[in-house]
Amino acid sequence: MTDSLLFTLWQPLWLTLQLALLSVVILLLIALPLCYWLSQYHGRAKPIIEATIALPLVLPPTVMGFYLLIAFAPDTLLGQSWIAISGQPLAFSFAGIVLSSVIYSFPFVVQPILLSFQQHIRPINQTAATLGITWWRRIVFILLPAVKPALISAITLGFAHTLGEFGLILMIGGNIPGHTQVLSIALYQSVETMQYTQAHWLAAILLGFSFIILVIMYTYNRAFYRMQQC
Amino acid sequence: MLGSLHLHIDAELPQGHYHVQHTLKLDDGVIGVSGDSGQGKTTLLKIIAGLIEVNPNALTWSNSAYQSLSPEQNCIVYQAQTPYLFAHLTVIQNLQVVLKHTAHRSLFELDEVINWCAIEGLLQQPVATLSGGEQQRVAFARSLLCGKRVILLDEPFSATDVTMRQRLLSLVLHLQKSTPVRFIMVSHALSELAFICHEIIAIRAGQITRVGPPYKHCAQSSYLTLLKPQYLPEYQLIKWQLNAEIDIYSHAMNKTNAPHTVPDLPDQYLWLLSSNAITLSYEQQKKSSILNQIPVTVTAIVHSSANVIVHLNVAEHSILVQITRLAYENLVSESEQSIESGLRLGRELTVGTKVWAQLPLCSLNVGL
Repeated sequence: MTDSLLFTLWQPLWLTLQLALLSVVILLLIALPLCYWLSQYHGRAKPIIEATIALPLVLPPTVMGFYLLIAFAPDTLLGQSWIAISGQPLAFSFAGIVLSSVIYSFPFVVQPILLSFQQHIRPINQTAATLGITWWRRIVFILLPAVKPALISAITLGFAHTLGEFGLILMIGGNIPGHTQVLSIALYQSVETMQYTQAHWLAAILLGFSFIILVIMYTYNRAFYRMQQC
Repeated sequence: MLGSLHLHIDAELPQGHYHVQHTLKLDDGVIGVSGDSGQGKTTLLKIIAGLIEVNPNALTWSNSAYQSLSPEQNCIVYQAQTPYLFAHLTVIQNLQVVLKHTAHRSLFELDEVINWCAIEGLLQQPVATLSGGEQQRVAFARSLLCGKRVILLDEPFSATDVTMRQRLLSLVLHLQKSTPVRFIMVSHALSELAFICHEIIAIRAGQITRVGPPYKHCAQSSYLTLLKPQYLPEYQLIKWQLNAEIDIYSHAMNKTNAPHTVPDLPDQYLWLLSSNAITLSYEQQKKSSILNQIPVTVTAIVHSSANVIVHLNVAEHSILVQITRLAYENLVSESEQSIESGLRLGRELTVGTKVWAQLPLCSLNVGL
């Protein structure tokens, strides 16, 4: 493998890992409080909130990319506040592709956590409260350990799904090496420019990463559930 | 002393109107709550524990130090019939997590509670492997360890076997008498409540229908109040007094301990008698293996198609005996024969006749 090939592989790989890690952290910070609230909320707006969360599952990424570009155009209020926060326009920036990753992977992180919270929160809260355990200790020492498999699923699915993101990043971030050119886009470009050696490597890296992550997740969850259901 | 808890509950709940005005004197003894399924027993416990919100000032303590707070701050722990154990933890972890994170100081040591509840062999098991009865014992241990002073037990030992249930009921009685912990227990088995409770509250459709000591709740069934227990270690039996002249024997099944350990006994026990477990005869069965034989007086005879119910009176108790018609006719024909032969021996089964009742061995198993 030549040095230049190694560099062309490493740069998008490193960018993709950064993107996936950052997205997962942001997603968890949003999803945990949201799921805690939503699993105990039974108002009329619940189906609408749930549908909004699930939208990225069914919408073509181009539809979301289109609306995001319009919403965050530099002449809109949202676009200007975005520039004030991140220092650059949404389009063609790393911050832009982080935002799109967060939106794109949102349902994959929220769904497992929400399902698990809905199953555990009520009995854990009632039982632990009457046993004299305060609110934050219930969450930290009982609820979160009890939903650990769901958290692992959410993290791995969110991570793996961000690795596979393509359409939305292409629309928002374009294809700037070192800034927005993630693995999937580098692969697309390699095929377009008929650099098949590079394409093979990129495809193999994506395939290997995704497979290993899923194997880790299923191995861990199997061990956990075996303990609970033997 | 914990003092009294005054209930002034008046609330509209999803299952209907709930109205309870009563004062629970927790220091006097274990309080029982009886009633059929769906009549509001569990609801009452959950309201007391603060898990169901009702009208303001529904619960007030005579001792203001315990004034009702949120479920984690108040002094009350609620233990459900199907207890929710933390499924991701083992048995010992379930106990340790409560000991470590409860806001209250535990009243007991971990080891003694494990020993009392007989869960030594289960400690390393994941809770999913436990049977229903084992889960209830672990939950009881957890309630004892959480440091709260009032423990509300909702059918706490319904899934345990008879011997274990008696052992745990004795434990509840023992803890109520000799430690600062106080109990309120829900059960549909009156005999269970009669064994340990000082007062029983009967609930129907969200209202109290009857309150009082156990015997007040047994008007429809036969019962005997047994007093002054005396443990006979050589026979492993308990001798109770029905009155100054009549003794009643009961088992003292004490499998776990040496036979000479004196079991913890209630001062009195309400023995609920099944009406078809009693036999009648005109004379005392002298050469017989029956231990419990008592002289009784017939107060009424009621006929039905297959059976005859004989009402009897003994030591200010009324007991019912159900015998088959054939057995009744045999008894009566003996009295008729004796009239024909001119030897009137007083053998006539009518109101006022004195007969002997043979009772089964009292089925009370105690042992700590």
